[in-house]
Amino acid sequence: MTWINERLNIRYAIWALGIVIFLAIPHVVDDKLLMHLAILGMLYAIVASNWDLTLGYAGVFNFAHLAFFGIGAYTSGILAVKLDISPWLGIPCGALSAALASVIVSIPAIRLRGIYVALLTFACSQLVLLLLLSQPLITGGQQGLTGVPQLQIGDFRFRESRFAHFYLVGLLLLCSTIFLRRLVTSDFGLSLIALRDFEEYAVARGIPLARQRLLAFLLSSIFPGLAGGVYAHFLIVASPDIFGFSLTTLLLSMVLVGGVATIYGPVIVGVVMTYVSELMASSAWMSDVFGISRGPVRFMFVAVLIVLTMRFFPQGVWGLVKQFSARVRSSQKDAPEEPAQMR
Amino acid sequence: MTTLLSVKGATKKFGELVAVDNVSFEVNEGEIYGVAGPNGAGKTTLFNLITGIPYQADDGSVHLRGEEITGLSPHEIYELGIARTFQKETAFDTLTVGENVRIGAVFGTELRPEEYEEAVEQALADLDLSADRDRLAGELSLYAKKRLMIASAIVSAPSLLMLDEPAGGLNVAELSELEELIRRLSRGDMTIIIIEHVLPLLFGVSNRVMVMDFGKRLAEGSPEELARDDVVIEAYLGERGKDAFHAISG
Repeated sequence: MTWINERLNIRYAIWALGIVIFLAIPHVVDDKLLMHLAILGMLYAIVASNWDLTLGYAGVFNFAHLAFFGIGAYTSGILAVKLDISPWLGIPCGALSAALASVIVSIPAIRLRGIYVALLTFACSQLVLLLLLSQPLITGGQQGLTGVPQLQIGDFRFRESRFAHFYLVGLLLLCSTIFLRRLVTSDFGLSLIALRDFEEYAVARGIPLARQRLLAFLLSSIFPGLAGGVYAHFLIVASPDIFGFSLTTLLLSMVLVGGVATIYGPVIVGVVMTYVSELMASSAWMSDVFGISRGPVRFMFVAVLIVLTMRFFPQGVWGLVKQFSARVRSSQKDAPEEPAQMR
Repeated sequence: MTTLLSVKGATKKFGELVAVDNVSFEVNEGEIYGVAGPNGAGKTTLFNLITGIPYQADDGSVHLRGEEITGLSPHEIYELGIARTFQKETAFDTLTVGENVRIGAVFGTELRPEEYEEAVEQALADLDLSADRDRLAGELSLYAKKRLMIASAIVSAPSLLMLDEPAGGLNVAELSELEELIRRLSRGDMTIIIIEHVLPLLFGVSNRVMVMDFGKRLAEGSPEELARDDVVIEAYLGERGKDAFHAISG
């Protein structure tokens, strides 16, 4: 039992260290752009890791997760701008709208497979975008919904603080990650893996396919909906760009490069990729070297990264970390071997 | 004897091919019922029609303890007490052996958490898999995978266990173990339907056997009766084979 205690201690130590570093960041980092990107990265990490629940664990090729994020953003934004409803009520309403949308999308999607699910969910996502664009008086149309109020508690305004958004979004990411990890290590998570690995065998062991997949969609839409609401109040705008193919590709790359069916991978890579891709968009040297305008450079980088990941390390970054740690453990003679499983 | 399962006029067509053609049979509680027949006879399709995996029958009905279960979804059929295995050794390879069995206990049963922990332990022990509990199922040998598939089926204490060619690919020692296992399960009040190509095993464990050919029910009877049945011998060996068989056996 000593090795188990040791591993638990190491795990708690890593968590504690991570939290201390996280709390210290806004007090140490003075760069406003860096802090802005960190917040944006954490919001994207929430969407990517929740996407991983349906894509990685449930094996459903779903492309609707950014729509859930967008629905959260627009719901909270519209409630605040048009109905003067507090963002603190609007944000949970955004999560509810996203959850409702996930159920509507999942009903036709759960019985389909492979490319058909991808097409259906992508079509649903574009349908939401077209609906938003068709109602410019409410949604702001192509220009997006502007004038979304910033978050505040009493007289304390979040945008005027160096750490308020950072801590709020960090807390949301922490809650989302703990929620997802609890889900995937529960019997519910087992059932999703079973359905993904061998659908016929899974239903032969009593797993209700439709209910479990619907639940996977529903449970993975709540935090993206919340994140969308916070996003709108953080940027004080809800833009139709959220539904664009570029952002979809960026978030998909976070799941694939981070490691499919790992949760932690998309969380870590989500934050890093946001920073790297934004850095590429704002720096000149890449476009100077390759002679390409700044905008497309980062998306070309993302595309190349996806291809390289799929070709050379399909298990992703977190998969590599797990492989490495399994190798280290097995090299320790006195430590019992544990399977290097990918979940 | 009480009838546990009753199949009436089960039919399945794939285009012009009639894979199962108006097959009817009954299985009594507590018996081991064998299903034999050459490749392509429709045995596995018949299993699929009963369990609804991956398709339902085009015609006919299935009753369990007198209640019609035709058209129910596979997980509902499992909940009612029918658990099956597959012809090819099947497991959730990325899950551990313990988790594979746990799935069979958690879903589709009314066991409480403390009860299914116990049921999992028991099933693992019954199938000699306790030592492999934390191994990934994908790392198991063929025979161990077959045992795992049975463990995940019996963990829910089904009233009917359907085994689809459990002996395929096993060596003599493993066959002997499997035969003993099937007998042990049957003694524990479990009704079993078994499809098998290894006829000594099938005829050795079954109380009654149905022989199928070209999707039809060819014959049914005790193993002793069928071993002497010309229609059955011809289905397996052909016309000339039948004559040779009679010449050898005198």
